[in-house]
Amino acid sequence: MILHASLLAIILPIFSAILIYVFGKYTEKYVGWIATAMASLSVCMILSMVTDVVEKVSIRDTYVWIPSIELKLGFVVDTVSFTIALIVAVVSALSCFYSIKYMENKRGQTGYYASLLLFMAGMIGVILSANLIQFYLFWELMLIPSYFLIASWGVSKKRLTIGFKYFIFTHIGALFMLMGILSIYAFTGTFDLPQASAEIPPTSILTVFALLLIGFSVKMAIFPVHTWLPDAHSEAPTPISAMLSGVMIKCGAYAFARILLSGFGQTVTQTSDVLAILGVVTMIYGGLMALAQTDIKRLLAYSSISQMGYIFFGLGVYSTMGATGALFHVVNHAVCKSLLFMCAGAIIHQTGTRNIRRLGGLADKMPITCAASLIGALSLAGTPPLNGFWSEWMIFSGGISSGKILITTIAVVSTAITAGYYLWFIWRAFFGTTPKELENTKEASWLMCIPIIILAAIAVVVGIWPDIVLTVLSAPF
Amino acid sequence: MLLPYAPWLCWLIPIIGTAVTPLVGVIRRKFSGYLAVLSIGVSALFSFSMIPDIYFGTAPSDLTIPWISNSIIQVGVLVDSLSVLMASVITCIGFLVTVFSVAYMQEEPSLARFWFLIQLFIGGYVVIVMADNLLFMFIGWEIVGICCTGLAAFWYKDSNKAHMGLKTFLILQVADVLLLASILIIYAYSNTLNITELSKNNNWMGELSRSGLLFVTALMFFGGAVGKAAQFPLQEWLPDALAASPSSFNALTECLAGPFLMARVLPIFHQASLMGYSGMINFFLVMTFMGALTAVISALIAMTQANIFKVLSYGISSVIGYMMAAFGLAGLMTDMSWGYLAGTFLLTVDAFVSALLFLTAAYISYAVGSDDLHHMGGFKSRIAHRSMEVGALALGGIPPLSGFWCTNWIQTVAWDLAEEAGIKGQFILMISSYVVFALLIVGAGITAFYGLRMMGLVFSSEEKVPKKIPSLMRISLVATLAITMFLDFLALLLIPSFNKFLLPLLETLTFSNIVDVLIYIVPSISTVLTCVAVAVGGYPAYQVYVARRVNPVKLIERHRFLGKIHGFLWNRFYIDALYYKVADFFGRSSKLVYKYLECSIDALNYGVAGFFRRLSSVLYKYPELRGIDALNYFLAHWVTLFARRFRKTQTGVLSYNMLTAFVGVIMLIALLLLFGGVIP
Repeated sequence: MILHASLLAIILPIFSAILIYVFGKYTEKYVGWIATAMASLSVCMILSMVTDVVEKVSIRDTYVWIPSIELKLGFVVDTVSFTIALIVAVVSALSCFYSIKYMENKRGQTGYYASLLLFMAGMIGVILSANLIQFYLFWELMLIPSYFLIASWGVSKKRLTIGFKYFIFTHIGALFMLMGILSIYAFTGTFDLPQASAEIPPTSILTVFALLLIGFSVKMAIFPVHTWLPDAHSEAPTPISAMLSGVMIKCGAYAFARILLSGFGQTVTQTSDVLAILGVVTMIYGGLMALAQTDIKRLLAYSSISQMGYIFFGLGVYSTMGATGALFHVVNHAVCKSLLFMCAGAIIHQTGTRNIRRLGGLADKMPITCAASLIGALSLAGTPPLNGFWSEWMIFSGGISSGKILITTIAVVSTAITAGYYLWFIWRAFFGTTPKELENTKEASWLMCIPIIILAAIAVVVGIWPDIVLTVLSAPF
Repeated sequence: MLLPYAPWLCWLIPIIGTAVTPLVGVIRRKFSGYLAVLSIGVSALFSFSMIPDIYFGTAPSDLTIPWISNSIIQVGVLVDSLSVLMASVITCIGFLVTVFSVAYMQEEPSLARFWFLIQLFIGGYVVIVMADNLLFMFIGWEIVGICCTGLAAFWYKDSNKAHMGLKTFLILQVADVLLLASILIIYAYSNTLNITELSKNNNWMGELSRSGLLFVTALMFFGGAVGKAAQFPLQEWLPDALAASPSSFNALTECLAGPFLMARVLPIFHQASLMGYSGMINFFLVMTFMGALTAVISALIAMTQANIFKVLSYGISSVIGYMMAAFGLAGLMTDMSWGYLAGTFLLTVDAFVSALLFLTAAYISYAVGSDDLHHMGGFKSRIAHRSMEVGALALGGIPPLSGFWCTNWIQTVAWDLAEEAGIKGQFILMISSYVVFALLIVGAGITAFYGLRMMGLVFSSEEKVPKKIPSLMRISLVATLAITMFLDFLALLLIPSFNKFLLPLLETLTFSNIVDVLIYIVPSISTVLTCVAVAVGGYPAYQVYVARRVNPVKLIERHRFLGKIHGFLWNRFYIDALYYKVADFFGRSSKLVYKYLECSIDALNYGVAGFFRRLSSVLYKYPELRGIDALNYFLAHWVTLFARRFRKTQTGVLSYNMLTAFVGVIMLIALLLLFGGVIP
């Protein structure tokens, strides 16, 4: 491995963001390529640690930060964080690459790419953090650039309002989380990631747990604190939607696994019925809402809510299989949802409409997009042998093995809704007769197709060979 | 005899072929077809090579390799008589259909996609039959479902056909999630997915039964099979999918995977039933009734349909109803081998009969350019006519063709079960068996009707100039005809060997020679009643469609009651319409929930934000501006006022200053005297 790889993975995008912005005048022309290169470098940094993770060695890099309060800058790379950090970086780098063509003629290129890189750094920072205060800082670091990305480069006139809503919602969530973090500090005297909750008195443990849970649930957009998501994710420019829906909301899932599952195991067991029900409600509700949409990006955004329900369910049932499955689903959903957003972006870019009802018969005009959308949609609908099937299988089998047979059966049966809205979208967009105004539609540029092809290939390869991910991924307990 | 790695390669080769097809298709469009012929042909060879080993009992049984490390998930193949039999049937038909399709599809522009789907389909189908664990089987199951969808929506430019693909996928998905849920429950209770282990160790069924879930789990499992096998009430996808897809594909009869699935797990479920676990008897009763009902309902619908593929798909759905009934009866009996053999034999033979009928239909529709039965008359082709005759008569249960033996056999099993139950004093079971028996007899009559109707309409004598038919299609059809005739006419002779072949699964030799079969099937009340039913069903069909003594259109016009029945059947019992209503309900309710719940949650959020904004403006006005800030100004004001007044005392005259200092000193002394205390 490379020395300080984990630090470099975060620092590189931050510094390059600053440099890109400062030297904006000179870099304007190639800024997309430079940003992609830097993001890819960060991917390589994370990838370089794979050898240790395969051998189940957990890497802990610590640096002195504020000695007077014994605060250190720490990064932890193990079987829980490595895969998630990698997928965050990969999706960010691909979104960056995708932006080159998609954002071609938009104003404020340097600001856009600088924000994107900062956003990426914030997310990787959250995933790799070894202590809670640093975790909180990176949590806010990913919020701020993403707010700018929505509010400044959003697609409609409502972007300021929506950006504001997004900011307030996630910030309030973050404050709940901060209260939780400070309570942990008050009880344990350390900001280290909690290992076991023994030191927190049993009377207040539920409160601390609830504070953290609310914080993470807002980020994960669990019903009923989900309403920021469809607005924000459909408003953001498509590559950013791919990052928001693909990886940012997963930070909440990761935090759930990292902090609550390993630190508050007992409380999770006690509340696991409620958590499982909340997961299933989100699953079904998000699916139903997706069924009602005609805007491609809103459909995908609601689908994200539904999919986060799966992840929440897998984490909430508190079994090794369920938690591993949930984390695996984090990876798979990241791949497939960003794939779908990029396909939607390609459709929007090429046809100029986001209304599904105005589309039709695009399969022969955009064959790559069509095939990739099919792969993404079928995978998320849980069709073997694509990657989504494995994680859904593991989540449900975790649910059954923890004895929740009825609720898991409801969850399994409700996956038919997922198949319903995705197939409806595919059918309306790609099959049937082509409307006259779309007669001359062409396949999107190669610069947009390459990330789509890469993600689709990952979905298929991981589907056939799930071990490629599962050897470096395990539940945090 | 076994070719090396045959149990693996028989499904891997088509899948590898699938992966290569897009590349080959790019190089040269036509090569993709030849590749498919090659891959499926080789796969068939590998499948056949396993037959002798099974017959002589030298085959390896269960082979596995891990798929996901540290977990139960494995890729495994189970080499037993059932799997080898089905794999051979599928690849054999697959090969014939592939050869047929090379010619049939030659003018199609997107050939690579067609061959991609066909090879994947056959690969997935062989995975279903070879799999040794439920999860791997489920994967094959889903692959087959996806390929069906892809082929139903093959001509996706036609909105209607694309829609049929969507419909197929959704109905299959509903069934598949049921199957998946039951597999998960079985896994939770047994801790294994391996079929051999599941049957060896049946404690799990005891536990399931004690927790009261056995019936539900088995029913959900059956639900999966019901969907794929196009059984009532999920049969509606099949006719539409087959009418929309490229016709030659239809001969692959994906729906036979449903009865296969039940045949695969029947020995396990039967054990549970023998051990007296509660719920199992009810499950088998449900299964038998569903089968028998489907046999009648689908046959009834087949009587009126005009599209030949719809007639045939309702036909196959009805025949599968017989198979399901046979398996259900087998589960209810103490010795399951009678019903089990009947079901599996019908499964094997019907695969070929249906393939023959579908290929013939594709052949004729290619020639006359229409799928409508009424447009097919006048096509003079000896091969097509012979094939239609062999298929339709076998289907219609005309002795001595296979259909006659199989239906009779199943009906005899039902009759036997009724007697067995009567002796044991289980009257509900006895009555149910009689009802099933009666339903199956009625089914035989209706089958004879639609079989003859189809034949009569295809053979009607208006002259037409058909399209020239490629010889490859003819060769393949003749080959299918030959194999089917062999099975059809020699059915009786084949049954004892078939029994011997399946012996490892059954443990008892039921029919050691042809005399046993004859004694069991022929001298029964079933034979008489079947003959009567076939005559009653066949006679009107013969009069109306073959001899053409009556015009059916006029007949319907004359009798309003008949017209109403016809309308009801033509609209397929309105089940399809019901599904659209359900789908519509979901769509509508999701919109309602969106409008009311989702938007109100959102409004609530804005409401909360608005409340805080208003609250802050109120707080700004009252406590802030008029309260605290006003107090500040008030204080400032009074301080200023006081200072202004006080300033007047500051005159600057020395005498006043001195006077003030003097007063101050006196006051100090006075204070000291009062509070100073005593000097020590």
